[in-house]
Amino acid sequence: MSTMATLPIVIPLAAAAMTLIVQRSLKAERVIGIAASIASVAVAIWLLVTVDQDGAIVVAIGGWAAPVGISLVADRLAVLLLATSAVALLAVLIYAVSQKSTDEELRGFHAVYQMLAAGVALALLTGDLFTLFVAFEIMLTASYVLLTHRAGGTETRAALTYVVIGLVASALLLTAIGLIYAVTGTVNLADLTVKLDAVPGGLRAGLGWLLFMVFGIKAAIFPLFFWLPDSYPLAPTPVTALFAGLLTKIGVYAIIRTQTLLFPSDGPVTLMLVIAGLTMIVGVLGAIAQKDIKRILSFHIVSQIGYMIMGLGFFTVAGVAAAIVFVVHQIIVKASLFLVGGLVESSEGTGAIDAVNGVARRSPWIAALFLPSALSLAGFPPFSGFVGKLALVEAGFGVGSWAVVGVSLLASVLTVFSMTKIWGGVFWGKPKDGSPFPVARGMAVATASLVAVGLIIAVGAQPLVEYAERAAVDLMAEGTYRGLVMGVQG
Amino acid sequence: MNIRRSPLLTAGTRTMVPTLVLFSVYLLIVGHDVPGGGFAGGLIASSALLLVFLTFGSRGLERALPVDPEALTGLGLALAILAGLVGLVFEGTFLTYTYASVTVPIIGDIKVSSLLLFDLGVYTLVIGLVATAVLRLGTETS
Repeated sequence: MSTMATLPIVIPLAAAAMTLIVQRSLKAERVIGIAASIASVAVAIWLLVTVDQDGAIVVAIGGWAAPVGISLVADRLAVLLLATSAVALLAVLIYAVSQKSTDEELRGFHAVYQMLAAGVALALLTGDLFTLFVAFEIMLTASYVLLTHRAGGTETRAALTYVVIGLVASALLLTAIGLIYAVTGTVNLADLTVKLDAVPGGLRAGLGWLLFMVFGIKAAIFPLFFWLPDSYPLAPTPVTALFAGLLTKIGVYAIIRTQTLLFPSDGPVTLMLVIAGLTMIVGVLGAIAQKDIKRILSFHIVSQIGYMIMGLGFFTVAGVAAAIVFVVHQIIVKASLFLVGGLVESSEGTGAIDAVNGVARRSPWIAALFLPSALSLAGFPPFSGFVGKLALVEAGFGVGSWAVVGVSLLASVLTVFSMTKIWGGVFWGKPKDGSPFPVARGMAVATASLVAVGLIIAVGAQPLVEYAERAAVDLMAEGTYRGLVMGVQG
Repeated sequence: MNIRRSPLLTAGTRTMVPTLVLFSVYLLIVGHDVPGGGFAGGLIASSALLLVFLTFGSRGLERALPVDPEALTGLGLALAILAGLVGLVFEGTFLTYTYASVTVPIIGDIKVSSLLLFDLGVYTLVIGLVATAVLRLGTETS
């Protein structure tokens, strides 16, 4: 049992080591990378099923029990996101390998990719605030490499913003953890739930908001999002899709985990809801102003983060459950939209809306892949976005937060507007002469699989929503997490 | 690279490098009982490589370390993971350390810990990483 909970971290680490050893052969690297990603998906799905049936799995790494040692806690929320991200990681990797240019240009791509996967798994599984910091560092360091390798004038400038913001956020996170340690004498999350009770209210709130802000930078919430639309679109498509699908969502996960566990509230948190509303509106307004597929989608990342923060801000089981459903939906849909954007770029040579026309006529299959994801993002029934937004709206009505629910609906309408901009500009219109560039079959298959996963989420919405509710009950019940972690010996 | 070598530096490097390497191995071996360990040892060994690089250039470094430094990094990571897996197999949890006593003639009983394997992994990884950085940053591109 405990072995399985360590595997999501060990598999990608071992794969990274092996790809470094065999790096004379790109083919061997690809085989190892894809095999590791498939194995990770299998393990994550096993964990998803087992943890739901038999309860959370807790491992005391190295045999040192909490609060002294580092615990890995595979509870419902962690394994749900683990499985979702493993699927996204696999699809994006297949896309990258089929596209060829990504891993041919960047030596060591597969090692870096697997390190990023290990970082994501560690961030989701760790029960320790400092290890969470380490996990973020692993993830970010890998992302710096992926983002900066295609160095040119604009790219380097944009990547520099990303790296500097990342480093500042890391320094702040370390400061926050240091302060928490200074006040309580522990960084173990389970231990903190009790130790923080002895801390004066004002100080506790300050620490809570400091952590919220730091993870907010990583999650790109208002007003700390400006780095994202600047840097993401310039990376190669698979890298952007991966960042869009995963990195900000791990920030949201960290916010959900720390806020529900360490800084619980009895009712809706007004400041959080205000920030959520602003994030939604400002993000979507930014998207409307853009003229490039990837840039539009990048602003949408920001906008959609607002919905997740809104769900958390309600601080009810229904709200947190809705936020969890929304995170799962976003990881899949965001990654698949970026992959579709990449397909348009590959087949038409550019992703600028003005320069591309009539793709629906020229490559109908790309349009067929774009449509369900775009409708899902906008929240049309019966797609997964609708499921998430409906749950959020219901949760909002449950606590009577009419204003922010209204804002979220307005943001949804504007999302539709900006999606029609892509649809009208890129897919409709008079097709230009000449046939589109050929697109590697693997890229199409990878994108189609991810879109299909999005559809499966929509069809299987009921089990997902129920699962998320069980996960939210675990999160909101005081003492559950502590009861799990404390006293586990190895 | 065409560097005019200082005789002082050359002579100094020739004496310092073996000493540094020996010291780094010492730190590596005693690391799980007294201050030292794979990271400190690896850094000392890397400083020996750095001296070689400063004195004899990247060619000299490649001669002193006749393996691909990036593969060395991977090997180090693999060894460290292997040490974790040893714990998994013998003690049931990842990264738990285990040890066995080995009797060696003349010297006597020696405790061999899986921590040593982990330290060796870190040691290798650090050397590989520093050598990669030095070669990438220090080699003139065409």
